[in-house]
Amino acid sequence: MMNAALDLRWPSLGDSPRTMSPVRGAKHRSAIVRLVAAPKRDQDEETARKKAEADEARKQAEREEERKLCDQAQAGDKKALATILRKYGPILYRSVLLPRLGSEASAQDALADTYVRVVERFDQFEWRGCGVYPWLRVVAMRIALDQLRGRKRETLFEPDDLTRAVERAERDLEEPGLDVQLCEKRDRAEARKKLDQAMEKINSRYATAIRLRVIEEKSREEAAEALGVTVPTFDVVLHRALTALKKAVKKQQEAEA
Amino acid sequence: MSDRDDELPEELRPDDAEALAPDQGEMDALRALFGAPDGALSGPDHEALLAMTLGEDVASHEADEVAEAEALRRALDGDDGIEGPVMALAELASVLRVTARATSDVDTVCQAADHEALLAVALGTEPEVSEAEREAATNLSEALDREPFVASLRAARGEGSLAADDASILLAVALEATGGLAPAFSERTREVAATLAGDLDGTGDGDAELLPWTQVVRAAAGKLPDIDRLSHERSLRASLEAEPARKGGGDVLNLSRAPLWLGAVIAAAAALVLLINFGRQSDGGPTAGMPSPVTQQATAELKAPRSTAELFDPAEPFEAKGGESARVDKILSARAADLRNNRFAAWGVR
Repeated sequence: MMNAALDLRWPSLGDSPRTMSPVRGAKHRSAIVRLVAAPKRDQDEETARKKAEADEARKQAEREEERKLCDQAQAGDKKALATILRKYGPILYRSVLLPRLGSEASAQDALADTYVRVVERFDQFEWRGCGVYPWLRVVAMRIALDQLRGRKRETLFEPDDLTRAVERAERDLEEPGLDVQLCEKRDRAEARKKLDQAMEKINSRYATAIRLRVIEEKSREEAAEALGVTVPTFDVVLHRALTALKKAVKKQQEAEA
Repeated sequence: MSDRDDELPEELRPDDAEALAPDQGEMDALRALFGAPDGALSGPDHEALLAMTLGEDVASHEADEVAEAEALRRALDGDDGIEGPVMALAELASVLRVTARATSDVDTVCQAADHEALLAVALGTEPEVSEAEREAATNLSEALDREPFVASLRAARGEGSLAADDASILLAVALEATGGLAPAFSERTREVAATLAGDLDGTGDGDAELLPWTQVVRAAAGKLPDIDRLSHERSLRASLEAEPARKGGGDVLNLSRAPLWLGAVIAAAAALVLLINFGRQSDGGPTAGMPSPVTQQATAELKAPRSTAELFDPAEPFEAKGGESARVDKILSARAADLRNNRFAAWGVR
């Protein structure tokens, strides 16, 4: 009778897990778990939110600092301009110039030319929310494009590829969330894609030989062992693999031209 | 009477033993058949022919020959332990057998199971195969999919997908990888390959034709090292020096700009000397084209460009850190004095 009385009251307060059906009991249990877990989840979310805010604040401070440097540089302060270029030059070299020009010497030449052009034209730079790096990136790409057009280089990229890349990079300037990491990621992904496309054009065994020896920089002995051949035979395979790669790239470039 | 005698026709039983003896006509026919030179037939051949034609009992064989015949039989049955001339005979027999099969019809080429499989393919029906055979076929199919050797061969067969030399190299490599057979590359091929290998190891002269392509690949894969600090700093300074300072700007490069300024002044002075000299040579007078005494004297007195080493005492090496400004000031002062003297010499005054 007591239970019946209780039962009458439960609907207004919610069913008791002891008296309700198994299905409804399970729902209640999960609700309890949710209630118990909620504070921890809220705590995690709060921590993540604070971290994101701190990151954003740090980025904002860096941007503000960078903006000041840009203003100083535009006023003719070479120390400020040197600070900017010293920070971003190696990134331009690594992710913009080197992959597209395919040689250290060419990339260094292009970086020097980029600096000269930046110094000449820094007064034309307009501050945008994404900072100065995307603008430097466009300048570096244009220099690389000039180099590719001016001289026939051995590289995976064609002038047309770079023309498209410059157009994209110019559009990127309008992207508010763009930062150095994102630009770098995009540039590297593009280079990687170009490499993969080239490797797909040659025999898989050739591609393996190039990957082992040139990209992963394994010793001749290790690479030969991985392919199950002797070292002198591996040397021949690698030579032939690079010849095939060169031929495949040239063929594609001619076709695109 | 032996069992064999029962099989003989009645007229050839031992009672008619004389019928077994070869007559001269038969022997001549055999000689003609085998084309022996000048009618001669070797003893063993003769015996063999007799045995074949008239029955084993007629011919007598040498013990050596019997042993060799037994060895040949074993070799033809697949015994790998046989060597020497008998093995050569077995190989010859094998060649003949393969040739004969290749020119025969399908019934003699195929085993029954092969025939079934071929029929099934032709008719589009399922062949009747044993469980063991089906399992073996599955294993083979899976192996074909994962074995790079087969992939290489497939690629090699694809039209236009692979150059002929690529196909041969891949095949050679596959054979070496799977069968331990060393491929026979030409001396020139090995040479260029070794040059590239040396360059990649850093032990070569760096003149391998394909070396730039290794850089191209490494650059695209992000495997090349970052720019070294000194090269970067050099590029940076060169670009900043190229631009005149703007108003209100800081000046971080006084130190490195000093030699540039000095060089510009010296160049201007040299240009001035040349201009004076040129003016005197082109005045059309009797001494035109000849250096004037003043110019000659001035040229002789001009300070030539030289090392700055003489400005410093070699017994006192530079400190590891600091002192750069003092050294540059010393060089600047000495060069300014040279410039002043050169100007005076060029003008012919003291």
